[in-house]
Amino acid sequence: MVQTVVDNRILGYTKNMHAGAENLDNGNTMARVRVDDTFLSAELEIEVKIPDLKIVSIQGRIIRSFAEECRNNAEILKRAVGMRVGSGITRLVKETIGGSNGCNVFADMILEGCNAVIMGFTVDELDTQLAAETDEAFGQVLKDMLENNPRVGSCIAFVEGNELRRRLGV
Amino acid sequence: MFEFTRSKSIGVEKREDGIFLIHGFLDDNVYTIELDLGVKTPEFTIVSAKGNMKRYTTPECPKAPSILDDAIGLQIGGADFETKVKKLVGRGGCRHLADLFIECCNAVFPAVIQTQWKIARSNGMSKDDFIKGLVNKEPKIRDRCMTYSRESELVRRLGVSW
Repeated sequence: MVQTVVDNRILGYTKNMHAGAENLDNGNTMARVRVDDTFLSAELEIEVKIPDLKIVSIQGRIIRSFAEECRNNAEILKRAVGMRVGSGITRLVKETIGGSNGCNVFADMILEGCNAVIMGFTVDELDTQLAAETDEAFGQVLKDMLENNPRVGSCIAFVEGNELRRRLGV
Repeated sequence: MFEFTRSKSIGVEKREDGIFLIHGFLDDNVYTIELDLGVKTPEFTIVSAKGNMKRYTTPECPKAPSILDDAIGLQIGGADFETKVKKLVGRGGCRHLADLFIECCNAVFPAVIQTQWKIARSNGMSKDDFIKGLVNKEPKIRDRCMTYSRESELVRRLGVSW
């Protein structure tokens, strides 16, 4: 759509979210999450024990909110201590931290932090895999990825019988 | 040093015809994804969806946004909406695109509230009166979280019941 000078296209609502994961000297991983939107600003820190992937500490605060009462919600974060970052955590966090007796903002932030922790493990592996310098080597990397990865059907790249699989003979 | 970082940025504009345009952008160590959605209110129906994978891991990834055509007609907030999106856009396309898609969809309701609050405030309405009106007329706000639960300090203070 071409914008004309008479259009008022000021954004009414904006949201920015940042999640990061870093390795700590004690061997654990720390995820930090920050959310800023039109109505609310919040921050969160989650320490995850490695290799158990259990949440060992969590703290956060709601800095700005539309309803003042939201700022008193940080107490519920204690419920997340002991949770394991793995299968079933989405439902567990939504039911334990979110919902009518919780805070959906913190629930979403915890899940973003957990995702950052998991993706942190993936980045190094991908970095090595995607560093192939020739088409043949890259093809082999993709072939290995498709053959050795249990995520068949998890996305378009892993769909059985897709063009990539056919081309690589997987 | 960060091992992984992800930023998501969402912006929503309201058009005169009751359609909200949502622009989403996801950038992390592995992916850069853009998404543009159109959502018709008050039905909260997706009327347009276009995406672009700018940075990805396999030659199949750029094809993922083609699946977005199938998302047109979905109603945000409908039964199992997130599950449907994860299956349709995530498994059928890309789970990171689905993540951004859900984030964009979740932005529509607050954008509607922002529009209403802007008008109310310009008419001199207090925040408490606005929230009271919102809880009275929007069932999906009620018991959505502890702040808006029937037992909450806010709801009791405003004298709302359901």
